[in-house]
Amino acid sequence: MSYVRFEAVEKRYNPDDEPAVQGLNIDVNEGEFLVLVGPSGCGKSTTLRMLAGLEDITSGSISIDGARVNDLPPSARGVGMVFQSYALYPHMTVEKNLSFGLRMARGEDRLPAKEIETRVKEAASVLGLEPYLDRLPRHLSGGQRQRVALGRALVRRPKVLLMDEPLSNLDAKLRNQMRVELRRIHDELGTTTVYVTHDQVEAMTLADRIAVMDQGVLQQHATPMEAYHRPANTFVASFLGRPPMNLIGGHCTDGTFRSACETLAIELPSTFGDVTGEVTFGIRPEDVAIVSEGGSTLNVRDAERLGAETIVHLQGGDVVLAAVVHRPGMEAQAAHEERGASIQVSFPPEAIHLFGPDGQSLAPHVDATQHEVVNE
Amino acid sequence: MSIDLASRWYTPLTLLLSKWLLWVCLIQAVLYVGLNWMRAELGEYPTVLSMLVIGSLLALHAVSTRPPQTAQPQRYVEALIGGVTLSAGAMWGYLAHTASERGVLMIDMWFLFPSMLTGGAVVWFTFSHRTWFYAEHDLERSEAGLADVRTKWPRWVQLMKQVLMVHLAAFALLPPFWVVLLSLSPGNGLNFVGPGEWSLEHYRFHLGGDNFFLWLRNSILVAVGTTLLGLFIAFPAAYGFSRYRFRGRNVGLFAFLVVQMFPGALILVPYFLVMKGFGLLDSWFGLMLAYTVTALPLCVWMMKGFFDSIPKELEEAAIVDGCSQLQIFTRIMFPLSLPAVAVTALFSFLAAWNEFLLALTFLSTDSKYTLPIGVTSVATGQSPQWGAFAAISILVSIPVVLLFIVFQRYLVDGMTAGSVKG
Repeated sequence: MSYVRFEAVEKRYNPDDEPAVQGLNIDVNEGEFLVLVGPSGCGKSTTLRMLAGLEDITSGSISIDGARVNDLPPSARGVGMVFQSYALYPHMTVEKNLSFGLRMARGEDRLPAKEIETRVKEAASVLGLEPYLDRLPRHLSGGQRQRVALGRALVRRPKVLLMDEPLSNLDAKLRNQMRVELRRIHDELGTTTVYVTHDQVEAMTLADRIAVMDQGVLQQHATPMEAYHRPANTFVASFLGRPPMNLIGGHCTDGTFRSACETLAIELPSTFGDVTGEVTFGIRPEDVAIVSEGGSTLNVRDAERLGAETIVHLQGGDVVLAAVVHRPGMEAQAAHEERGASIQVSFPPEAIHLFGPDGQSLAPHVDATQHEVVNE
Repeated sequence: MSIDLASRWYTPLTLLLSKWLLWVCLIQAVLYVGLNWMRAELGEYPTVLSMLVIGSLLALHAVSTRPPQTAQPQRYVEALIGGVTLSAGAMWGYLAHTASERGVLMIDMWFLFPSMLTGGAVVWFTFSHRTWFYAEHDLERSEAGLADVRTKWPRWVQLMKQVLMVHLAAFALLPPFWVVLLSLSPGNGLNFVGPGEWSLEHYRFHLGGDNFFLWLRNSILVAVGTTLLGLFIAFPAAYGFSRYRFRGRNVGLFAFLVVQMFPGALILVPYFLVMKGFGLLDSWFGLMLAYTVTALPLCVWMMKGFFDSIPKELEEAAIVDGCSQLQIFTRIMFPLSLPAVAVTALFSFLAAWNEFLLALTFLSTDSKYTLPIGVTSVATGQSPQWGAFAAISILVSIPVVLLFIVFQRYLVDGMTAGSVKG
């Protein structure tokens, strides 16, 4: 198993342009599944392509197993890559597609024909592709093509497996199946994996650790649970989670947060110490508690019933909040779901996040025992 | 409120047919006017021509507007007058031509007979559907009629389309057919004989002599050489234009087109001077070089278009799999672009195979002639041998036809390549 290290990596497509990626430091541990996630244009694909060797690195260094690979050709880096469009060779059968990389190897890397055959069989059986070995890619379904693309990357026993939005061309149902499958295959083979996606569900479910990127800059590099429960800044806070975290601008005085128009006044837990001045108050929709008395009063603007839960959109003055209410039951037309109803909400102290004027999180505020944090 | 939808939409099958035929007649009439104008014969038969146009327009108006809901005797009369006018016009035109000095040509019959028949048919159909024009048909009848139209009309349309297409195809097929007949008729006149007297003497003349095979060899040499040389240059050039962004790329692509914009005769003299300078006059290689240069722009553009449709990720996958640039070419790009290669090759081959002007200018020795020069040499001179000329024309086209048949599948693929996703 291999590890990967990005050190101060920067990428500029043109010397005069803004960098596509800057000051990137990431390390991927042996056998780890790392997911690079962020909105489109955040530099995640560029990062992956630099690791694959398909893009030059402007400055900084990328190493695999401690060896600097900046200037090595892609085939010498020992990486296997799965492309978004699969990029299967249309004129080759599944078997030829799978074995192509092995057959291209020259010199000491060259495997005997027998061994190539064994490896292809092996990959085909792991991926359930045996019945299709003689077919051309155009005669396969989307999910099968996806498997072939994965198999082609795996057959070479890569040190690092790279995947660039591999599930985005599949329909929703197949995507869920393949997501589970991908994780299973990773657990089986233990190959160090770097996976790029813009889908936070994929990121949360697949990753051992995620790296959230925005505008070419790494925002947070942590386990999915840590990034979710202790977002490093407002970007990560609103990027992960659906509906996104409620963020309310305001200011702090004497341990109390007041929203800009003073609609809300919330007493902050003592763990924040004596934070004063402009801050952004954050709370996840599922942490907003609807109470019968003693909370802040807001009006229901809208309710989205999803079955298992209901998302209630609340408004009061300049404050807009979403709250998730679980299992209201089919018949129970709770009062808080009526449009225009006036209800009270409270904010559990341990679920409160505070961000400074620069958007960075203020202080570790939560007692670690409050939320399960997966150990690294 | 009862709505009689059926009779509001019902038009009898034969009237629909009339409408279709009348459109054909109208278009024919307009074409015929144009034809006569070009032959400067417009002055002679203005009445005939206007009768054809007016007759079909009148009848068309009567049958193709919406089904009458109240009695419309004026439409009934309009249809009858239109039909009669159309038919009479065509008849008059035919008779006028028969009486004239030049007589009736095949083209006149082609234009006039359909109008004659259509006019008669429209009159007959109108008579038989008088109740439709007077809105006297009851609901039941209308519904039955509608059902009839629904089931039968598509088949009728199909049939009529095919008849139309056969006529159009005849325009393209008649000249070659004529040449075939000529080549099979003994003697060297321009007249042909019936099947009983057909002979292969002209074919025997060519296939028995030496010249034909000599010219054939020359032509094959030059055409194949041009194709290979052209592909060898066009493939990498097109790849470069498709995949890389470099200074002068747009200028280069445009410059290719500029060369194509000049008529061939214009570059003949410069070509001649260049070839003379290189000492390549009267040589196959000079000819190949010139043909390649001529065919190159189109080949490059065509292949560039094809390469544009091959996703870049495919090459990246090959790079990760360990391919060198050359291997990407041979293992991925070439097999994938076979359709485009086939089209380009065929195009180069045909251009070289059929080229006449450059060959005539460059080649001076009999034994180095290519087929087109050879063909012409048969038909020129003191006594042109038309039969022999026709026979060698057929012989020259056989390889091309065979090539087309072999490459047909690729051709279709190649032509539509841009629209299909890899």
